[in-house]
Amino acid sequence: MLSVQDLTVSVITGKTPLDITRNVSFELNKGEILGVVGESGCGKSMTALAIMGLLPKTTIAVRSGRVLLDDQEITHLEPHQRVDAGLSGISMIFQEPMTSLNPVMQIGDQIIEALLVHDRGNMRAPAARAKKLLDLVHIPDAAMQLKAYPHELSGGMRQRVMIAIALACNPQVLIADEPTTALDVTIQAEILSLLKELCEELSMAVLFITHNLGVVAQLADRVSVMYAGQIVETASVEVLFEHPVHPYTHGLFSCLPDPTKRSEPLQPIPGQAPLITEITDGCAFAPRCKFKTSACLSGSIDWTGISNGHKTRCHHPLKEQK
Amino acid sequence: MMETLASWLEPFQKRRLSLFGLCVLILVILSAAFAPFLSSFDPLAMDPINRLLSPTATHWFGTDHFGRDTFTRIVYGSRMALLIGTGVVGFALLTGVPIGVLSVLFPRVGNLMMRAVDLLMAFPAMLMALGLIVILGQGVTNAILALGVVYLTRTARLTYSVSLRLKAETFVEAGRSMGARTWWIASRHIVPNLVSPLLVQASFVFAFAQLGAASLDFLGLGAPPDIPSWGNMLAESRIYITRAPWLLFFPGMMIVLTAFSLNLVGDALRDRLDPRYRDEQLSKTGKP
Amino acid sequence: MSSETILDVAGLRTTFHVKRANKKYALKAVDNVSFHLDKGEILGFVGETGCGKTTVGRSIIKLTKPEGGVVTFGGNNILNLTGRRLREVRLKVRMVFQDPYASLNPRRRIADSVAEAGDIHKLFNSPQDRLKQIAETLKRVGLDPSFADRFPHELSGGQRQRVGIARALLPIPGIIIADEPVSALDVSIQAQILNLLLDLRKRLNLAIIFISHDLSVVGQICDRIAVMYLGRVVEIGEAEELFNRPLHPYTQALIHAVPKPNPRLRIGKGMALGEPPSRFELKPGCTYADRCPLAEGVCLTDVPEIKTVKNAQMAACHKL
Ligand SMILES: Nc1ncnc2c1ncn2[C@@H]1O[C@H](COP(=O)(O)OP(=O)(O)OP(=O)(O)O)[C@@H](O)[C@H]1O
Ligand SMILES: Nc1ncnc2c1ncn2[C@@H]1O[C@H](COP(=O)(O)OP(=O)(O)OP(=O)(O)O)[C@@H](O)[C@H]1O
Ligand SMILES: [Mg+2]
Ligand SMILES: [Mg+2]
Repeated sequence: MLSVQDLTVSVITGKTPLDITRNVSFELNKGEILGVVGESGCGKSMTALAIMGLLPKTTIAVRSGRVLLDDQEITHLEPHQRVDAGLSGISMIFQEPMTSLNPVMQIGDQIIEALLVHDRGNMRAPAARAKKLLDLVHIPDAAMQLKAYPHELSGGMRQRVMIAIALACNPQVLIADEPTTALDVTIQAEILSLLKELCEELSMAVLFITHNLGVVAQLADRVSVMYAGQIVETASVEVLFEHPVHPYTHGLFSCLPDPTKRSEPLQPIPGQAPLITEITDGCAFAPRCKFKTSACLSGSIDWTGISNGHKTRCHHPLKEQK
Repeated sequence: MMETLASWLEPFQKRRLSLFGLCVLILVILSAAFAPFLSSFDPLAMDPINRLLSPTATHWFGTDHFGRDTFTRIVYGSRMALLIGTGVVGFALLTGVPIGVLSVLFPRVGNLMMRAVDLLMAFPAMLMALGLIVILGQGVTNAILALGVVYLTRTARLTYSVSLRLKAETFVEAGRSMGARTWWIASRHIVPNLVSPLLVQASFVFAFAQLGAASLDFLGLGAPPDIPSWGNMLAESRIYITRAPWLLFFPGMMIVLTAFSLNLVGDALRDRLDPRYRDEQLSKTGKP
Repeated sequence: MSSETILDVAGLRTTFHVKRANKKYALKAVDNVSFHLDKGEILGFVGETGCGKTTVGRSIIKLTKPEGGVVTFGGNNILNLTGRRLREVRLKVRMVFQDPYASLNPRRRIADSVAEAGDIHKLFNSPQDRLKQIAETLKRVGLDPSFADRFPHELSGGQRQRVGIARALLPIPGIIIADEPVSALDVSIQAQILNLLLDLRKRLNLAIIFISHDLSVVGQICDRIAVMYLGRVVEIGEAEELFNRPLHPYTQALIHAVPKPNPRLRIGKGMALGEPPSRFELKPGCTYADRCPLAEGVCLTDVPEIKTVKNAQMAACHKL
């Protein structure tokens, strides 16, 4: 349904372009939830913005690669051109629900606005459809809440409203960029189960971006792990959590706090992620990797298949163990 | 020594316009210092035969209605410009900054002071300066005082709002949590962080002081007419605007040019003074 | 209270008077909170946003002025201290802040930030002594002494948080109050900082109050945990006990809602807890009643007192 091929997003202000993401590729199928995990600054949001066509093209732009929605290329279409071409099948929700909502506009009107943009103004009974959307995201008293202003809602409710707005255009693909990071665990659990439910009911595909491995385990069908602008490992969620093969993925798991294993100290990955300017030839993780060999320091690292649907960019994938 | 000088000049290398501004300012300062050597004419000497001459090889900028050499008067006028500028900026900073900072640190008195400042700011700047001149009397010192009070209010307001924001910063909180007193907070955390906004403000004030002083001169309330100042020159020659436009062009241009240059230099200095901007280039390329 | 107790808090209450929509409310941010902290112990505070964790930490050293209660430290009630005596206590009970960037003055070098407490209290004999102590403290948190000359923006997030911890270690305090010290950090850096705190506790016998909203982090490093809900401590006990056998329904819900990094342990549907009630107008009775599946009768009328349920585990619930 959504296909991203060799997407390279770069900062193009300097003399030589600086790559923020490099050759990011993935497929997203109908009704599937793909989790993208990675640490801060690894390029998750830039990938999402590139797919949405929302990059600030004068400073950061797609340098190569393609984004296909239902086999139609949309890489370089502006959002309004996509609406005109009837390709508005991708919506996005952001991390901070307060800053993405207009504080002086009733939420009902904000949902209707989104509906009208996509139906190009000719739609009957928008208010009724807005109410339906609020019902869909389980906001109690939907009819009354249409008249509420964003500040009158709690964080979890606001995020629901954001999801309702994202659903206004009947998207085939929903991109969720850390939608629960600003929320408490109890509310996070509710939003996650809501997303899961919507994904099944509307057979929508979801690209779920997060740095929280727990959230991914709860929600995703497949997971891609990103490091320094590249996807380094992709697998189904069960396989990845049971048998991570990239040393970075493995390292991420060993620094997760686990209250049931208090006696064992955490094992942080030594060093820190490189800045985009520090990335050199070879594997970006090599400087922190204890398995590196001279082969890791040059050339580009290609995909190694591990099993069906499980692949990694590593010369020395870890063996069966965790 | 050479190193510090180099580090101060560094931001100018990156900003060509600021470098231009710096050159203009240095020229103005040099001409103020060496005015008598720069021109063989006497700024006050009248020469009725050669009145309203257009620019020539002897009179580069022409002559005015008394036949005085405009170039010489511009050069001597830079003395007055620098005096007014530094005077007003100095006064505004020395009074406005303490008022702003203290108002934040002692909110009870501070609120009252800020209301007073707001009240003063409600008057248009020029009207207030005129009112003060009426009270204080005409003259260069009083013009500086009057303009100083006008910009005191603006400086205090800016200081207040920035300090208010700083006071809520976590690092101020952190200081308090280790037992820092008000004085410590003010001197270590608030004032150092005021430098860059105030520097920009100061260059503005300097520039506006030029315009303000020119207006006061123009109205005959600033420097006495026989002292060459750019404002006086504009005022005296306004009736000749059609016959001798250069009489207005050169002093007018000097006012605008100086003001503009100051803003440019202010920008560059901010880069040098604020560690975050100082390494802007570094952080852009991403090296820690 | 054992002989090892270094801090004892009893009946701490902090109220904010706020105005909303032209009405004045008394917001009970901390309501009758009691606990004790032993030497060398890490006590965790968890709870949802706005439940008053930060306010507890700030109230202890009077950064926010509490309305009532007793905070006993070194034989004195901190809440009665003012002036020089209070400033001295603040030297022994130190805070580490959540945002490692905001808590460092961008215009001061790392050395000045680390030495700030010493400078404020004029503790250094000479500039050499000052430099020596700064270098020592930086080494303690695993930073090279050469970092002293840098500015905060020249450091990574993890390094900044190390500096944030370093500045709380000069001079070495008795207690550190760490307010969400790892919430702004990535997992790998978070793990480094958690290990550092554990290591410091061991070497310097520090007592740490560790505030966080992340239950798995708190569970990992704390000896005891206090669970807060709307300004009250609803459960407090040994970390392991509390995790394996939570008593209060809220603690149970909280532990259940933590997304476990295991795709085979997915949270089922129907876990909905509902939204937390308004903080401005609290109903009588148990604050958790309207989200609680067990609530009935007494829960809606009487506030449950916190009581010892078994061994060292205390909970505030009528249904136990
Ligand atoms: N204008 C810019 N110039 C240079 N680098 C930039 C610019 N904007 C973003 N970057 C860099 O691009 C990288 C990717 O950023 P992105 O926002 O995609 O990260 P992310 O994975 O979403 O991180 P987070 O989890 O913090 O949201 C970062 O390293 C960032 O520093
Ligand atoms: N200075 C203040 N004035 C008024 N209300 C305040 C103030 N500080 C905190 N509050 C309120 O007190 C309550 C408790 O706040 P506190 O910051 O202690 O919560 P917290 O548990 O630390 O939350 P978080 O996890 O979001 O940091 C909140 O409802 C908050 O809105
Ligand atoms: Mg992001
Ligand atoms: Mg807090």
